[in-house]
Amino acid sequence: MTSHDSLVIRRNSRTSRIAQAVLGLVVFLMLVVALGDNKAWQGKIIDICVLVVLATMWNLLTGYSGLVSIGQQVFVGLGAYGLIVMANGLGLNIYVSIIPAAIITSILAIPIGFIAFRLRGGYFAIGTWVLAEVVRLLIKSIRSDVVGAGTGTSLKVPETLKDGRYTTTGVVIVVVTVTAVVSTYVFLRSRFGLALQAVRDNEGGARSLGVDAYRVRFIVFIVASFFTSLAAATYYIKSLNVQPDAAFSISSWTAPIIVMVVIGGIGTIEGPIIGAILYYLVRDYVSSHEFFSDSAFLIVTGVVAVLFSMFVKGGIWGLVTSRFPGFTIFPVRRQVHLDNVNFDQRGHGK
Amino acid sequence: MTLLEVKNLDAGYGQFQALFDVSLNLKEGEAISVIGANGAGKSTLLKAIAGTVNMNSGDVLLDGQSICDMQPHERLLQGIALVPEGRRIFRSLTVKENLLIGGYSSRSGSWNVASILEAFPILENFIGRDADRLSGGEQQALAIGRALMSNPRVLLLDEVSLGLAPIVVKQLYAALPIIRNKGCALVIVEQDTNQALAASDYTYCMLEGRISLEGKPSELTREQISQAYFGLGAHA
Amino acid sequence: MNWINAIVQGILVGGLYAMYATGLSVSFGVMRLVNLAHGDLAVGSAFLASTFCLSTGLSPFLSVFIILPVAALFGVGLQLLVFSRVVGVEPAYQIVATFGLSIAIQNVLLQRYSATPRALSIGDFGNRSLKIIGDQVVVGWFPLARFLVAVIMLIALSLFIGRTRLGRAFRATSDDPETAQLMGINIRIVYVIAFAIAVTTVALAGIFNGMQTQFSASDGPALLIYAFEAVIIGGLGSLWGTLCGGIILGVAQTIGAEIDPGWKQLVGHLVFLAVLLLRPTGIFGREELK
Repeated sequence: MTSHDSLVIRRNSRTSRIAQAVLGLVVFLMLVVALGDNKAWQGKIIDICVLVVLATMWNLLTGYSGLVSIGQQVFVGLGAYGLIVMANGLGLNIYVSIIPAAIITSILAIPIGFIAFRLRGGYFAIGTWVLAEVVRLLIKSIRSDVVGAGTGTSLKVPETLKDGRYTTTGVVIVVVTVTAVVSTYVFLRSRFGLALQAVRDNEGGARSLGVDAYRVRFIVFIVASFFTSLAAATYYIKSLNVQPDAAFSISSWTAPIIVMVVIGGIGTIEGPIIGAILYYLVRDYVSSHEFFSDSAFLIVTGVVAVLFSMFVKGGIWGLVTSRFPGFTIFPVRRQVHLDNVNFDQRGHGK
Repeated sequence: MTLLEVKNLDAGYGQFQALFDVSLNLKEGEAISVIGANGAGKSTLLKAIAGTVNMNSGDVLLDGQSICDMQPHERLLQGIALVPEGRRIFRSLTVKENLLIGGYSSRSGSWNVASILEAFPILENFIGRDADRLSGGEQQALAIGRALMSNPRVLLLDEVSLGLAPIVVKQLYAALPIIRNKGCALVIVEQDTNQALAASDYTYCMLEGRISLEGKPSELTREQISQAYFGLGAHA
Repeated sequence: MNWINAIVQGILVGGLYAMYATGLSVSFGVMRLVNLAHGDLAVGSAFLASTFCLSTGLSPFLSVFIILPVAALFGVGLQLLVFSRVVGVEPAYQIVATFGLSIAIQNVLLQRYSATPRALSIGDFGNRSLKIIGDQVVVGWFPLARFLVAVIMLIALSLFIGRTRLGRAFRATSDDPETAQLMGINIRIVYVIAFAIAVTTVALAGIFNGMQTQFSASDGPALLIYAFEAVIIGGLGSLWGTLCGGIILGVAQTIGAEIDPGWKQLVGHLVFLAVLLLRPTGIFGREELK
């Protein structure tokens, strides 16, 4: 019989710890920029962070829960309008407002999810889009000065807060982003996250083990709506101008996010982050140097998304991990390490 | 007069290997049975012969010619038809349409809708009805009839008795001699050994992906079969 | 408010919606493919027809005979080259691929044709109308013709799927692709033909739509939504259900427009949501939403 070698179940490896340290450094640097006074760079940090949150949330839905939504823009819009209602309408501090805005959006996500969950797969995707359209049209038809109906409205910023707006928003969004990503990481490592992935991989099997697939997915839907709207509300503290067609726009929000996650790697935490940063930098470079027109860039984006979904299903991060197996920055999977054991071809240890 | 030969077959699903070095032999006009417990690899074996499961190594020969590179629809034209596990009849087609689709790609021969209804008279009453209205036994008869429509030379039957009452199983097995007489050889896969052993000239017992016993049913004892079936007294 | 006229117009436009929905229904039924670029293919066909008519001077009705085969070939190409690589267990890749395609097509059209809307000119035929009930209910000849084309198309498709050998193969593949292969059906060819049918029908719809309404490069998504809503309202797995779904949607929209012009789409959406909530399998649905 074999001797008892030590069997260790580990999640973090040394490389992942190093990578996490590097990421921590990046966050620190972002805060430094945010606290500076270069408005252009502060704006970039805010944009990138918002996209990272949105991409991470979309990935949580798609890559980890198997819910492909093309209606996430509804939560962007609701976050934006939640901000307006709280800050302009109720007079709350603009920064504090993002929390109730996100909470209200999460509450509204319940009926939205309830309806959408009647559908599956591709039809679920279109269904989320229809729901986004319905919300957009409803908001456009609200006859209230606060909301501004079809023409939209702007966030009112009190005099005292005007000066440090970009700085404070920058810090807030970095905090939101870190919270969102860390929450996702913690969530996926938990029992709940395990249940979620079990449902994604084999729903029938998971159900037979007592997992309530519907409830698990629903909770993820609400969580995604919370962080999406939180980030969106923060974004609009920077942008100020809220218009229904722009805030609920699929081509401004959802299309880029989908492409980002596909390029970065669906189903990994690292993928959306990489995809968001990469996409933003490329788009920024392209538009500032006027290589392509907007629509030409979108053609390329669309084609890239198609090609990646055909040939590079794991995205860029997938390519990295296939080259360096086991390398993760956010280790979610548990790995069995047997120290001092060699394995022969058939898997028998000696 | 070997019709179908399986030689040292290794097959499975992706990284999971289900069959290890399986060999068997079917002669013209013969009926062989493959018995074994759940998960022994019997269905995988039939699917590998029919072409819907990948072979890792070894060969499958029909009339001495290797067919391992042929797609399922090509093997059908060569004369191999599978009655799949769980019947798998087409629910939105009628009984008649199920039979007709069985003949979508067929060889010439004596099987057609009329002769199938003769062999399985139970289907006559339901001929125009939606196939999903049939009972288990009726669906199984339909599944066999559907496979026969292609006029196969080898009929692979995957657990036809599964979930059916003994009297229904008896009726189904009563049709097998008719099928043999019309020139079709049979491979009968079953978990329930009684009917399978009675209906076959030669049997193979499978255990965990390997052949654990083979021989003529008349020459094998109950005990030998039990041991081979359950793997008692076998070595790891 | 002229309710009866609104209902009649709604029924007629419902035929058009059913035409849009057919392709979606066929490709989902046979291969579980939801093509998010579906509407954009309709718009693209209309633009192609427009280019054809402008350069040859021929009537849009004739362009149908040229554009439809082109659309069919395009569908074959798309299926063989792109979609066959994104079928499988994870629907995400399929959805992302068709979504990317949608963005690409819209922006290609934008580049080539700019954002200006255009229309296919059918001359005087578009203006002639028939008085049904005095001046209260007036039906245009063109919408009537369009409705008839939709019905004929559905009859043809229904006969094909219900009565022919290949149609039977379609249904078998839709039920159980693995067992269909055991029957000797080459399901790759079935998928190609099914998708070609889908693209052809939506091209027809796009061209007919362009004959009376202006169209522009970014119209695709709205058409996709109409097609989708018609399919869900009518019920999966039933072609005539799709016609009814289209009609119900059309009527809901025209009634909504009667109440308030800005409510046209919203009322359509609300009826769709109501059906989804109360009867998710649709009014004539046979299948479950898998």
